[in-house]
Amino acid sequence: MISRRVQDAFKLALALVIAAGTSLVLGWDNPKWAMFAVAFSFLATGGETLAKGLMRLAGTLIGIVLALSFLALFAQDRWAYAASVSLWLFICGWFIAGGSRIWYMWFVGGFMVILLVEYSQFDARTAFDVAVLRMQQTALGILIYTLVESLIFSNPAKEAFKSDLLAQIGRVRQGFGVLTAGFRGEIGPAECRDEARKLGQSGIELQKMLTARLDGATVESFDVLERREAWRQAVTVLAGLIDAFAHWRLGFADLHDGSTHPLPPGLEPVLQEIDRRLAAAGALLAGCTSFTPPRQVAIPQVTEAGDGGDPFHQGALAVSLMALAEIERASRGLLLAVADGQGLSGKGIRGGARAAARSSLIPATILPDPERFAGALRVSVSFLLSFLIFVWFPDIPAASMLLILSTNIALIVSRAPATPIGIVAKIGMVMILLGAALHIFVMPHLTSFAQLAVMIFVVSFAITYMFHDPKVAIGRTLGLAMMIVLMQLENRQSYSFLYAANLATAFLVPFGIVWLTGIFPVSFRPEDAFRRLLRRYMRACLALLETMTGDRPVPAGWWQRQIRAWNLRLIQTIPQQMTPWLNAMPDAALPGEGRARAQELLEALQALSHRIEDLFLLSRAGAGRRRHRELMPGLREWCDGVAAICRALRDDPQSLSRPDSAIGPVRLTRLRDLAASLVLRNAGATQGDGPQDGRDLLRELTALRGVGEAVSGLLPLARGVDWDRMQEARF
Amino acid sequence: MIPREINIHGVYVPPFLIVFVMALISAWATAWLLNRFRLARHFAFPRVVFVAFVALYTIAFGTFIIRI
Repeated sequence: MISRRVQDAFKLALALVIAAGTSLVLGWDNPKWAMFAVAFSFLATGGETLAKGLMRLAGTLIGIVLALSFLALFAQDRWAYAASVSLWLFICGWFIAGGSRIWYMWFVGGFMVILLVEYSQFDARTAFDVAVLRMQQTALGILIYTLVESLIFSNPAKEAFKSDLLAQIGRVRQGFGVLTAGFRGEIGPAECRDEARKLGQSGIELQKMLTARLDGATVESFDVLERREAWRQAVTVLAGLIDAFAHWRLGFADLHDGSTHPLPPGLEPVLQEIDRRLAAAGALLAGCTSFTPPRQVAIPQVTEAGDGGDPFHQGALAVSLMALAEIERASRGLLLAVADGQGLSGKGIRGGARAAARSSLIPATILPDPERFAGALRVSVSFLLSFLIFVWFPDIPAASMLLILSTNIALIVSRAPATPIGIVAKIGMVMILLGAALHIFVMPHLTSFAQLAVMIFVVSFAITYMFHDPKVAIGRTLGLAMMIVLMQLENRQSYSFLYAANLATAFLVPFGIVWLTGIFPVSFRPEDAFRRLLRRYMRACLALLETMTGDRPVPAGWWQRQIRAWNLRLIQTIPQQMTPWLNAMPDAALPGEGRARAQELLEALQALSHRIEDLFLLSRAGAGRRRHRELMPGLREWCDGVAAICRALRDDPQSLSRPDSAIGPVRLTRLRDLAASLVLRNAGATQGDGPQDGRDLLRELTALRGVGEAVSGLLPLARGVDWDRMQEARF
Repeated sequence: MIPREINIHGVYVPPFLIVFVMALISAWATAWLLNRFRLARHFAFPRVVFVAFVALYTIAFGTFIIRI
């Protein structure tokens, strides 16, 4: 059996040879463009490659239309041209930085505008010819790879998508089993935390992969195309389910804090039904043609007990049951979505799946994510800087390449801003040396296309084989790109050392520009980005806590709701954004245990986000708002404690480690007293005396305690990081 | 000394290229050492200092080792 790695390398190498040969036979200029289309569209499955190829075509088309428009409007005014192109690049960067599913279309559409104008030397008629040729070559490359993929070692995206989804559902079911044991108190909270962490990490990566696979399968299969909404919902609901698990496990420590508390009766059928739904969804994906629809199960209510035990236990149980209700809804949605995707659809099934998918979404807001804005701005500034060099130093080697490459790199970096530019530049230089060696030492000795084909095949096979893993895809992209560019393939072939030397010089300048835009106007130094995001997170926390604990009037207006949704979105997304920055930080910034503490700090921030979301859901229900004011003397102690820690982490985390620091864990004694009095009141209340209100308030107090504990939990972790050392200047 | 091209196995390269590569490697080594001994924290803008190192080494090598 030939491994997938060898199969992929063989297909790509063969497609490159055929693309080069066909383009040369047809007598078209720039055969490298057809080879680029093959090399850059290549992905793990046929459908994904085709989807990416179509995005490349769509981007090329958009780029052509815009390039011709800009030429028609601004051919005589270079500054108006620069302003309009930078605006267009900002738009492209905005969508790429926002994680658009069709990011590749924006990427190609962005740099194509510059490429066409540069190749045509600002001449509209030449630009049209170049545009037509580029479109032809791109279409040719995609067509050839699609044919090769269909005929040799075909790897359908549909099967890959279903098998990945099945594996992920199996993983989720296994995680549910572990968390259920934790809920019952059979295993400790630490094991549950590890399981939820592993599940969360694999979930983020798999959701990205599943989305890409689904897009590929949609292009490849009519069957999937017809039911793409159902599959999309399945992926969204699965992510929501993993998120709900993280919520659920947070309360386990409070439920089993050394003493044994009985769980309310009626929970077992709920847990069994959720497990059955996950198993049924897996069975459907494995080929089962029938299923039992989700059964209605009621989440039991917390029973009252004024027995003098931990007053927060009831509240913790109520909050856990709230998370369990979310898991129940998501598991129902997942089974219905998978059934719908497999063609077992009915009206009720579709409606149920959609409702569950909606409930998993992050609140929408029109206010932009500042990090996304900064990423898009970097693209525009990179282009403008390279344009200034192009205008003022026209004799710089390969000046047009400078414009194209710097924009290209900036667009790629906007998708993953923590990418270490220096390492990418080094890989690129190695690949340039490889390409230059081929151009100078090998190619002049080739006397026929057969010999050239062997060289292209061997080199591209080796590069694809070596950089097959998606994590090192940048090496494959750069390797193939440099090989294709430096071959300088034409029907009338010429060789020049100067060409290779100029390209090497031209290659370094764009990296220098992108490196510069990593300093100005917004710093993308990992240490600065990490601190900036932490500051923003704490600012959002403070704003949310102030609006949710009644310090301010109820946010009723549209603008206040937008601000609140923006802050909620920030606290949900920032811990994920901080992870790549932490990984990119040098060891000198986090000596000793610093990196491990910072990693734990990120996990604690994620837990705090979940706690705040719980509080938000409870406070959104509106109950207790009036009573918050009545309870303010009790809440004040909590508010002051939480705010002091958040402010210290926002303004100067190092101050927490100083001996004179007066900031300590949030004191929860007043909350505990309040909760105890509520438990007693609820136990004695009659049905008409508002026990539900008391229960709501108890749940809120529990959520407040959860937030207090989560914020206090940040203290030892923040003290374990040397923030001054992290912020130190270094090369 | 008169500037002249350097012959590397029949390929004549400008002396500036050689000097620049030497300066780049030396600047990298200096930056690594300064990072290693935590001396880089005394610079306000280390990246600009790095560029200055490259310039200084280029001038020094171009004056005293290979004439550019």
